[in-house]
Amino acid sequence: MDRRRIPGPETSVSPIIERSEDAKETPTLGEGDKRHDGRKVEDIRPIFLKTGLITQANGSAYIELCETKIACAIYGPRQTKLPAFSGKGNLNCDFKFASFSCAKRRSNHRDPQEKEFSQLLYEALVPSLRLDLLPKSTIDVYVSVIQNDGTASCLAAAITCASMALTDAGIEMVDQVAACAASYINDEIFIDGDFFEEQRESGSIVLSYMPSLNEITHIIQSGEVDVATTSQAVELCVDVCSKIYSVMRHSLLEPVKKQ
Amino acid sequence: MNIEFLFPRTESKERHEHDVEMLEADLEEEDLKREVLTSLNSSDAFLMVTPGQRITSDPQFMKGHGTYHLPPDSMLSAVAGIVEPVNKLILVRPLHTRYTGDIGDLVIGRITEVTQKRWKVDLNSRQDGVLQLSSINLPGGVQRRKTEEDELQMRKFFIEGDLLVAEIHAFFQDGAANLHTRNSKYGKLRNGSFINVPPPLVQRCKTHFHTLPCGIDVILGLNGYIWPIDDSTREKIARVCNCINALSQNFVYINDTAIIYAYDASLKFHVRELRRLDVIDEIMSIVVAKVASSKTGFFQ
Amino acid sequence: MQTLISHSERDYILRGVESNLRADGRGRLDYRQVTFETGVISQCSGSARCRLGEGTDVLVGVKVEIGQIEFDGAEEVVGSKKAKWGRVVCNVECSPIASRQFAGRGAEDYNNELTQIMELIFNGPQAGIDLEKLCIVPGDKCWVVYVDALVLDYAGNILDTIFLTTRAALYNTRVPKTVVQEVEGMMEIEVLDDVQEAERIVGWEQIPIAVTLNKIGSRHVIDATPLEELATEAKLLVSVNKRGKICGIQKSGEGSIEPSLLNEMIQKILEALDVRLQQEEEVLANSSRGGAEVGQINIQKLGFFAAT
Repeated sequence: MDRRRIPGPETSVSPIIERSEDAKETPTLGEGDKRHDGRKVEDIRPIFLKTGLITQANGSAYIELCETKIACAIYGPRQTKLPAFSGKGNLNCDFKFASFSCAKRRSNHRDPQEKEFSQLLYEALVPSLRLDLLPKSTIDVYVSVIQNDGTASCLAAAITCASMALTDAGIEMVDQVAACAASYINDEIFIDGDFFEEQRESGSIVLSYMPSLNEITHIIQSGEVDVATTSQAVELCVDVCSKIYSVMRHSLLEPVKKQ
Repeated sequence: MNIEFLFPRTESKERHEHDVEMLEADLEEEDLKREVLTSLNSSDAFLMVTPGQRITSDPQFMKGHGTYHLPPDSMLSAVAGIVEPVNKLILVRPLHTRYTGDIGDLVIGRITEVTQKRWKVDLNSRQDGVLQLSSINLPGGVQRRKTEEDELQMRKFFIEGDLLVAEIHAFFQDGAANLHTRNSKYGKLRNGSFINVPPPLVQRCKTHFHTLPCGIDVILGLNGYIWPIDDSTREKIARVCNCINALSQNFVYINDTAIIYAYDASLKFHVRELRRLDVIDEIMSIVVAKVASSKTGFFQ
Repeated sequence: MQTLISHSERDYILRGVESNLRADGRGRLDYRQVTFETGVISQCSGSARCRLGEGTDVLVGVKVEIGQIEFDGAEEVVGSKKAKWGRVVCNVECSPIASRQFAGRGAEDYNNELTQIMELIFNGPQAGIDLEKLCIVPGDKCWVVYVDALVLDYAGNILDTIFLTTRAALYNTRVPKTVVQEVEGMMEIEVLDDVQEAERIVGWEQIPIAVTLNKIGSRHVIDATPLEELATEAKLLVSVNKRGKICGIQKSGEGSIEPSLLNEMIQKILEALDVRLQQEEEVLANSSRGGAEVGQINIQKLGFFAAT
């Protein structure tokens, strides 16, 4: 127990907040094939993406998809402290949800899901990087989720954001990585599902993709899903990733063009 | 694509539930027989001992590795293994152990670390071996002094993970083996496949480079690392590998003869069947019979 | 567990994969033999052990215990559904006896990675298990199915083996019957200790298994050995149930995969899994030898590790 922090009760239960009558029964697909927030199934939420917000870091990026807010900082490449030699650089990823970021309070310790996401982040980013050019060095990637509106889409946004931050840090890479999540609800694919949709989903997919090279760097899918639906989702996600990629390029080049 | 499920093969229950008293009586009787080991022409029979078992009380014998002296005059075994008398010296060779090297041994090793002027080499032994920059032949057999330039480019010769064949040249004070590769036969290993077997199974022979009748070259490292080489036929290499694996699983001495026997016996099967447990049994029964009749030592 | 591989070994494996003849003589899609046993641990509600070839050895023990239903943090619509659900909790431990690499803190990250993949597939309705049947008192008490996998020996392809063993262990599991009585406004649960009354987990037929494909060069192999795993660029794990539906996909490793290759790999795995599920079921049906099945508690095994 960390005594410097205010200890909470041993166990806690977050209150179940009753929704107002109309919101409670909101169908996931409303009139005109609109989702509860007015999007179509294949639409992503508007993205705000900006690099270089954290002054101390060697590279940083911030991404916002409506209620999802994530910041990422890159430190390094720096000398690896361990004496063991490696001809390739190390990529060290750390994924953290802020304690207040989710519906249920998260502890300040690294929980198994955060460890898993750190690993997934690593696996999604590493194919894009030219670590062979950085022997004996380490790059640290720190992702901090400030607000979580859908865990799967949060991971996807974090991957996109981290790739942007790595670009901002000027680290050599073969391509940028864009990632996209989708929820499976009633046999339909909802691209970029938020928390509301995630609560009703039967499964989800997170796919990260290098658009210029046409390579999938990572894929993870949960829930019971048809084979055909899976391939369709992969295709859709690949398309969406290409769209996200154009946003990434735009937000990298635009500030420079203005000056 | 097919997958085969088996039920575990358990030996019959009786074998586990030993009659303890009978076994004790057995052991005592054996002990009496073995206690005085005077006539040492026992090379035709293996004498197996367990730790604490008396080998001899005749003071004319000298104690070697794997034995210890119990006052006043007993020599006891310190390991489970086979008694090997060399004139008046008695050694006990353990059945299962990590490799302990000797000067002149041919070994196969894997580079684990590159340091200044030397490589650390994993030898399946209690200590990593050392290969000094000064004890390698330069690529292409160029004869010249090693320069500081070479020292900076050690990874150009061997990098972590590389496999090499070398000879034990000497031992350092701390017992680490000092290797050398100053022979055209030694050096980095290519075009083959790596096999790991218990080191006691590899017998010391005149040569450890064998060319099998099927055309495959095999290097039998005394440290239990084995490397079959061929440039073209992967199928034959795979077959040899599987044969060696079968031999080591059944605890049969691994030498060129045994490998040839196993290889011949394996020919009626497809190479991919050679990992099947029933096939291994069948091949091994043939090999064991052949080896026993040709009097090449083996133990099971 | 080896961690180093030389350039020539990598090259040899790569060429072997291309020519469809691997170092041990197998083709790209050949599996090693699997030795299989259920009902091996008497302390468990269900258990199974699986050995792959002469190497990888996984032991899975399933324990069912009464626990609290977890449904907070969810919205009401979803929470009301979850209030009627039991739970499955997975854990993987790579024992240091399997490899020195698993000793101390070295295994932590790896254990966590394996556990999370298990959770991805077993935690939720896609696992096939009828979660409502595990509920004892809605909103309060339920059966929690603890699936603990122990890796005893390592010769590559741990994950496939874990999934295979888990399915067998869950098949072997018996959940005791309960009687719920309301005493002074409190729910009192009585667990019947009659082993004959205990029931198999409902929905076990739909429990998925998984196959990993290892991408080496531009091809892929099934059931990789440790050396092949070192040469692997990217792994793809796909889990499928008997209905032929995908229950989870995860890529791992440091490489990337082309979308068309990804589709091809998924198809290959589906074919492989279809055969495996059928064959495993046949074996499971026959695995009740020696009475180590229903209600059997006195499991006497001499030489647990002697069986090969």
